[in-house]
Amino acid sequence: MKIDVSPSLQENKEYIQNQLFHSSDLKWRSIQFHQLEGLIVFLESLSDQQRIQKEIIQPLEENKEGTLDKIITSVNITRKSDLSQLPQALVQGNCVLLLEGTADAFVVGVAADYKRSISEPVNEGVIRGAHDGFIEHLITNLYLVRKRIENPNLVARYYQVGTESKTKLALLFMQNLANPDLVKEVDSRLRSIVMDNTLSPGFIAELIEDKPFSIFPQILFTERPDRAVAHLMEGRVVILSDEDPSALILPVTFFAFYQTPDDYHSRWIVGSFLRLIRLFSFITSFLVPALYIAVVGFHPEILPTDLIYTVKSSIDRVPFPPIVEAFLMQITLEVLREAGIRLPSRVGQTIGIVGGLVIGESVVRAGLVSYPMVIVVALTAISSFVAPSNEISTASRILGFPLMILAAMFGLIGIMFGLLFLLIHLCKLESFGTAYFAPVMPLRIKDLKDTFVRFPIWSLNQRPHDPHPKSVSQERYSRGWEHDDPGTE
Amino acid sequence: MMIPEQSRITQGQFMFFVIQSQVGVGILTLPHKMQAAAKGGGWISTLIAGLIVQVIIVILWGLCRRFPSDTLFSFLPKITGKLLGSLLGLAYIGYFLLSAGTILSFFAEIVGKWVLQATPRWALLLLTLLTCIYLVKEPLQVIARLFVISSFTIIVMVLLSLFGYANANFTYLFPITDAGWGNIIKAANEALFPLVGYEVMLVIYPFVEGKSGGKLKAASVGNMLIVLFYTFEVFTNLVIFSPAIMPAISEPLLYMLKGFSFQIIQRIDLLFLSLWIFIVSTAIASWLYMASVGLGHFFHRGEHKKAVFYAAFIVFILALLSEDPSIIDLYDRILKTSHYLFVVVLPLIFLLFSYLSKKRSALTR
Amino acid sequence: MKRMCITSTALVVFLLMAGCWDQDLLRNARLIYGAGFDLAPNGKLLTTIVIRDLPQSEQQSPANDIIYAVGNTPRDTRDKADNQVSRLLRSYRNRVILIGEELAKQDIYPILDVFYRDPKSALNAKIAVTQGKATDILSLKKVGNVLIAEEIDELIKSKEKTTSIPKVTLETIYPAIIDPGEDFVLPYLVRKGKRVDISRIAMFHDQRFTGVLSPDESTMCLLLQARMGKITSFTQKLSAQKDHKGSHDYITFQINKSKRKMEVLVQPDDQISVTLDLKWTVGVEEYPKDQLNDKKMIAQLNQHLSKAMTDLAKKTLQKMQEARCDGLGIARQLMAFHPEIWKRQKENWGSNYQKVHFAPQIHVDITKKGIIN
Repeated sequence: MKIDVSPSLQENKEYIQNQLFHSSDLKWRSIQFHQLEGLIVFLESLSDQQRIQKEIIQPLEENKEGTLDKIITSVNITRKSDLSQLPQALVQGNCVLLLEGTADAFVVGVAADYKRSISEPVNEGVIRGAHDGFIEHLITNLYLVRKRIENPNLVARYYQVGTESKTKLALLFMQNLANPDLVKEVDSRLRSIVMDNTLSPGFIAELIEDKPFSIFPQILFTERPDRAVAHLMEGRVVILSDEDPSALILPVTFFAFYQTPDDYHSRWIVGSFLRLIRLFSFITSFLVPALYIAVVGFHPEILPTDLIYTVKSSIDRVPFPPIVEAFLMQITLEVLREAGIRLPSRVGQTIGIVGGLVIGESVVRAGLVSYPMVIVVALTAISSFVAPSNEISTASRILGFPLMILAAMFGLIGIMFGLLFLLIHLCKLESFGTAYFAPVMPLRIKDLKDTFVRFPIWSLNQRPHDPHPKSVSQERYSRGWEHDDPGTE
Repeated sequence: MMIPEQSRITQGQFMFFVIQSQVGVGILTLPHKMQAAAKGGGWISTLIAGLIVQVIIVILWGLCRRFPSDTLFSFLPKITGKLLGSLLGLAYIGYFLLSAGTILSFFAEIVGKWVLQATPRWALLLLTLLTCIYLVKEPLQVIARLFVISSFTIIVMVLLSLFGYANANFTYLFPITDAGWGNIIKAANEALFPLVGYEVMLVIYPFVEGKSGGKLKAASVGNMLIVLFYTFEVFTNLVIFSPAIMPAISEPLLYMLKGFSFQIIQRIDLLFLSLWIFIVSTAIASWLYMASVGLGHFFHRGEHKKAVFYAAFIVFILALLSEDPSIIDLYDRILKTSHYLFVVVLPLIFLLFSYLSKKRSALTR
Repeated sequence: MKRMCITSTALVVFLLMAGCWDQDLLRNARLIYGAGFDLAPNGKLLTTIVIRDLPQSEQQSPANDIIYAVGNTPRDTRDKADNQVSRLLRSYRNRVILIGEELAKQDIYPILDVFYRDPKSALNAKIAVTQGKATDILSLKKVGNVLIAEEIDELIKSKEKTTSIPKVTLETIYPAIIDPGEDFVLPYLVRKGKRVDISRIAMFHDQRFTGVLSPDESTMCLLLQARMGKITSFTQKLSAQKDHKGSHDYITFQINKSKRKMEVLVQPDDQISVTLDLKWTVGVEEYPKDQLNDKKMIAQLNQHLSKAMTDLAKKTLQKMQEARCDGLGIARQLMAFHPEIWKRQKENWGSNYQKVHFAPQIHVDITKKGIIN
């Protein structure tokens, strides 16, 4: 509903005051401009007062000739004749200039920019490679991405979601690589969001992902611009949101969660080895406790003679069946982990000691839990922490619980059915038209070059096929100096 | 789905589909049966059986080729008329369900024998069927994806069997024709049944992309690989176990592995059995899929998903009933006759019939 | 959402209904480490079971618990033994099975059947025959500081490496027990005071114990079977030089490589003859006379050793024939390559085997002399 700006300053002022419910941080200052009474209105919490001084008040006081928009030096100035839009402009950090007898209000962009400096993301450290990270500022984040891809094909689209909170989002993609169907689908899903407030990118992820009931994360969160850029160049899209340092990357496959920029910064043999270690630890992170339960509870004959006596001597005094033991320890572990995150880092060390010494040692001494169980749980925890993404790390540990139950009911057979179930689930999962477990299911041999291992960069002639990029080929003869005539084979 | 994946599978996936449907419970008992029937020549019988299956595959292919966009259930009425076609379709569904039930009950029996002696049969059946339902209610491509991956377990099984050659004694094979060629041929007949599963062609043929020649090639390569795998396993067991012991061991493959031990793990048979679960589950899923496609065609306007649950329930009941060995024998006998009827005789008749009446469904489309 | 509810309810119900039917906790198991079977009066069976118990604290060492039970069958005795111990008797890590001489002279298959039938049993357990009663050896409890069953297990393993006894486990003799085409041999344990000696082989025919070979013959028997272990050595008297005495008169050599060629020939009159050609390359381990730089000397030694070894082989084969032990699998060869002959001879194979003519020939070739001449 449009309300005209009244010629009376007083009326306008009252209207704005009422619309903002006399909020205490609403400030105004009277001015004189060409003998007209004027009023500068702003929210002191959001506006940069120095800029108001420099860009509005100083030019006005110099009393030059010309209209207001010529005099005011600020980049961003608009004329508004609708009074009802002014409160919204104010809460976005603008300053409103009203003049006696003028039917237009001037909205000047003087929003304060309080942002932290660019620093390396804490959760995604790398040994080698860029050490900058996204921060809680959309424009800066866009800058970080654009700076890495200086290419007109990089497109950013703004969205506003949350009817009350009005969170700003930016959808980034490479026009020449990203599949238009994918962009269209993401666009329509983002547009369809109806919600009061979307506090974090986690909300967005949950609102647009395909299978919300799956335990696996289907959207990759990252705070690293280089990671986001690498995925953009594979034809995926990235969603950045204001006031949050995480970028959402989609569609991703399972294996993306186990890759880090480090893989590409180290030599390819090292990178491949580390990647294999990571994937192996994904398996151990949910399988080891279940296997232990199955072996100790169902098929002890699997163990070789010497080992069986070592294990037996330790578990003989434990009063619980292995499943109880395992649940006890796993839950303790989760509690410790959670406590470690919540506590300030200085106190956090105490948790390490309490966890390590008290739980590890005393529980065994007391005969509540056996040594092998402690080892198993420790192994599980460590191997789950190897995952470069926190989402998948937690998911893999949770996955262990149903498997443990199956192991306690059917032994090895139960575990196998559990794994089969898991495999079927991974087969079924699709995220934005991409099979989640690609390139293994469906099998695409060429993409396996950069899945379990990382082949040398110069042999990766094609982009991964899973996001269905517009152009598949990404390089040819990268080591051109080896051939006299790189044009012919 | 956003990028509508065409509801088709590639020829490679088709090949693995055939492979996974064919490998089932038979692999464990086959060496035993072959030895009983053909002595040292058992492996030849397996090869011969493979050839026979190849011929049957060509027949089925010839039939499917005439109806490139119809499944078994939709082309039957076109050949025989609506009523008879539907009745035959139901009979095929019955055959598929019984096959699934028999495989399932053999599976439960072997697991009950080798690993979980005290676990009640229903629990095992339920566990298997729940997993199968979870898979079968998905579209064909998803099933095909899983089949491709689980085929890799076959490679592991071959590798495990290779360890057996440490105790191999090739003289056990001789004289190869001890049982006589007559018996070897007869044994080939016996070896046909562990190889069943290629019938899946009848149902999924229209969903495979590409030309009919390529489809035949895919099915044939799949069959060939499986026949080679079976022959390899039969051969391995024939050189490891002397003819005198074979009659005493009904699952020679497992028995062979039971004796092995590695540094960190013993009872390799358990490992093998665990992998075998993948193979059997996929075989059951394949049969269940065939049946539910049929049921879906007749009762749910082509949505096989809705039929999966009660199809699985029927399979469950069938498998539960067969706890008594005499009933499983009965199933076995019914299956053997119906196998010839449904997979050899009827398709041949249909083929001739459709050939004579020149009923080319491609033209009507 | 509705579907999720149904699925989760079904799962919960399933879980509640389920039990841990097959649970077999390691914690509740008393593990059998070794077992011995003997003939008891009245045709009954005496089973001696060695359980290895673990110490409650880390300082103590493990101890053996030995249980005796008399019953009609192995399973029967085991159930009776189970009645005498707390928790559950479990045999899946059984390492050794000893069979007393007297019992072995009867059919041994009925004793072993129970092991073959159970999917959990340890088929890689060693099996051996004892001189006298098995229970006497197991009752030693400890040899030196090592527990008896462990000692026997380790001893057997080490002697297998030196080609003193065959590598036999429950699994590997199973084919031979049932198969008419081959007879098997087992290690033969002798109690020497407070220790156990393993260097000889017990021969079997048709599942029955029929004789024992001396240590040298045992090694020879294994070489004839082409089952050489890692280390195989003989000490041979050099009787050609009669003027020397004491340790100067001996040579010890180790076989590095043994190549066997066996051929089974059938004459028209059904006479079966077997030629066995063994080619050994050997290294001299001990030869105090220090004269190995002379080629002639070596040739002489080669000739001498070849003859001595051929004699030993003949003696061994003769003993085996006396015991009717077809350890070389001659019957298997007949079955595979001369099926008609086998058909005629199989009825009475035991005595027909004794008529087989063996022609062993061993060629010794010294190739290594160590680091001095």
